[in-house]
Amino acid sequence: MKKIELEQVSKFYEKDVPIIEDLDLGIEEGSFTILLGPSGCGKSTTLRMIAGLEEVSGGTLKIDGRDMKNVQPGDRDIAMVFQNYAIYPTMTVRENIEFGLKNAKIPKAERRKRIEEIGGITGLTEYMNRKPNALSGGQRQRVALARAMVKNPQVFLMDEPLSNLDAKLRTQLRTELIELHQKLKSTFVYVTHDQVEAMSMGTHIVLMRDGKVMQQGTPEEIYDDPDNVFTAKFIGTPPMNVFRAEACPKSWKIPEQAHYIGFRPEHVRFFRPETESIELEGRIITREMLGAEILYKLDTPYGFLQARDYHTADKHEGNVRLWLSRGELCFFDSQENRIRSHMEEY
Amino acid sequence: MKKIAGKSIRGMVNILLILIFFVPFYWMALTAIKTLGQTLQSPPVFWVSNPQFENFISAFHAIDFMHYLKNSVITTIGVLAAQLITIVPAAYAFARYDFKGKGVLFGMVLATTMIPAQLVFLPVFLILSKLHLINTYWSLILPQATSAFGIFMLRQSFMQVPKELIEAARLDKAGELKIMFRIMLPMCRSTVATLALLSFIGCWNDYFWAKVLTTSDAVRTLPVGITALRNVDGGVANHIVMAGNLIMLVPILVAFVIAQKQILKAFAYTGVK
Repeated sequence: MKKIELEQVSKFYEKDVPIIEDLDLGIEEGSFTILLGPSGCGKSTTLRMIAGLEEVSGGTLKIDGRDMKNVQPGDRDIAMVFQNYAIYPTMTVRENIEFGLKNAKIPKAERRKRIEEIGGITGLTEYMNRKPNALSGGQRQRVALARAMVKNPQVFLMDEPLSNLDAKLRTQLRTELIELHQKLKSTFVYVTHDQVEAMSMGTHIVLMRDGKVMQQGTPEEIYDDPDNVFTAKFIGTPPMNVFRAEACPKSWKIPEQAHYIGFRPEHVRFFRPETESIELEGRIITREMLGAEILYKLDTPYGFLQARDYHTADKHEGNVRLWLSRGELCFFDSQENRIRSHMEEY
Repeated sequence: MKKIAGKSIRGMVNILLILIFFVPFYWMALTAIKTLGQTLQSPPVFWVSNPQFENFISAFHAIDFMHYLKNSVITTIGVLAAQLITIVPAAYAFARYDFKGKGVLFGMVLATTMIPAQLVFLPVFLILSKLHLINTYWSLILPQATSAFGIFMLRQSFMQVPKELIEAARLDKAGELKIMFRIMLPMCRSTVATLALLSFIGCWNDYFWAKVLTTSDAVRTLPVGITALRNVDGGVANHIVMAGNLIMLVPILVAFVIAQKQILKAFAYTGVK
C-alpha cells in the first residue's frame, strides 16, 4: 500500500523557476525509501514538502490517502531528523525528547515510560540530564533520533542525518538505522547525496535530478539495470564506464541507435570469458589496492575506464588485454536513455 | 619603541575614559556625604573626613520616599512587562516571517528611534489626556510600552537561530507562542538580559515622561520626587539630593551585578550555537 503519494507535485519559489515540476512519486508503507541525487536536485525540498515545512505549489500530496493541504506539520503523524540535529540547545536531553510529547498532551506517566524506553534503545539513559553542548556529535544525533522515535510516528523523515558525523560513526549509525527500521516497521524516507548510504540502507531508491525522478527501484534494479546514463554514472564507486559509441570500432556490433555504451568496472576482465565478448587493449595508469579488490584506471583508444579486479594476487602493469562480456553491456540512445531492444537482437 | 609608545597612548586614553565616567559618579557619592557647608565650599573639597551618613536618612524623610518608590516600581515593572509582550512577537515576525510591506514597516520602526521624545510628548500628552489617563500609571507605562531599539536588537538575535530549530518545534506540535517563549527567547537570553537592563535603567531613571505626563504627585516616580529634595534647607541642599540619587541608584547596581555576565556575553558573542 502507498503510504505517501505525490501526484503532479510542483514547487516554485519564484514564478517560472520551478524547483520541482510535475513530480509523481509513491512511497510504499514500511519501506526504507531513499531520495538520492546531487545537491540542488530537489530531494530535500520534496522531503520538506512531505513534512509540511514547504508549501506545495501545485499538485496533491497525500499521506495515508488523505490530502495534506492545510494540515500542519505537527498534525501529520511524522517525525523528522535534521542534518544539523536541530535539538533545542537550552533544554536537557530529557526535555528535548519530552517537548513533543508535552505538546501532544500525553500524560506524565506515559511520557516517563516512553522516554525511559527510548533512552534504553538509543543508549542515552545516563545523559538524560545533560545539555546538548555537553554531548558529542554522535550523541546529539541520537538525541535527535530519540526525539523522533518517542512520538511513535508512522513516517520518519531524515534529511542527511549522518553527513555531519565522521566516517566511522557514520558506518555504525547506518547499521543502527537499518536495525531500527526493521524493528519499528514504520515508513522511512531518507534524503542523501551519498549513493553508498542509499545502496546500503534503502529498500527502495528514488534517484532525482533537476526536480525530476531519473529512476526508482530497489538498489539491485538501480545498480544492475540503469535506465539512463545519469543513473549509470551516479550509482557505483567507481561509477559505470561510459564510452561514446562513435569512437568504438564497428567490430563491436553496436546497435545502430546507440550513442553510448556502458559497463560496470567489475565487468572488465583481464582474461577471456567463456561468453561472447569484446576484446580491447589498454594501458594501466593507476592501481589501488583496497584489500579485497584492486581498482585500476586504464587508458584505452576509446577513452579512460576503470576496472575492478577481485584476483588480488594478480598484478597487472603496463599494456594489458581486456575483455568485456557482451551480455553485460548497456546501450543508451542520443537522449542518454537506455536501449533495451538490443536484448532480443542478440 | 613604537610598540611602547602605542601602548602608553592606549593606556592614557583608557585612564582618561575611566576618569570621564568615574569623576561625576565620585562627585555625586562624595557630595552625598558632605555637610551643607562643604558642598558650598570654594575651592571644592575632594575628600571628606567626617562622612554625613545621616544625609540619607534626611533624604528618606524629607519627601514621601516610599510613595515615589512604589510608583517607580509599578511603572518599571509595567513597562518591562509591556515591552516583553510587544517586542518579542514583533522581533519574531520581522526575523522569521515574510509578508508584504515588511521592509517598509521595519524601516518605520527603525526611524522612530531617531525621533526625540521632546518632539512627540505634546501629541502623546493630548492623546492620553483625551483618554483620561493623565495621572494614572498608564500615562507612564504606555509611552514606553515598546522599544524600536529592542525590536531591532532582538530581531538580529532571532535571525541567528537556525531555522531547523523552529521547524523541529513545529513538527513537535509547538505553537508560535511556545516557539517564541520556549525556544527562541531562552536561546537569546543574553540579548534579552541586556535589553531588560537597558529598559530598566531607562525607565527607572526617566525624568522626562514622568514629569510631562503627570500634573500631580499621585503617580510621580522617584526621579521627579527627588528633585523636590532641593528645597530642603532653603533650596541649596545638593547633598540631600545626591543622597537621594544614590539611594535611587542601588537597584540599578544590583541589577547590573546580576545581569553583568549575560550582558558581556551579548556584546562579545553574537552567534547562537
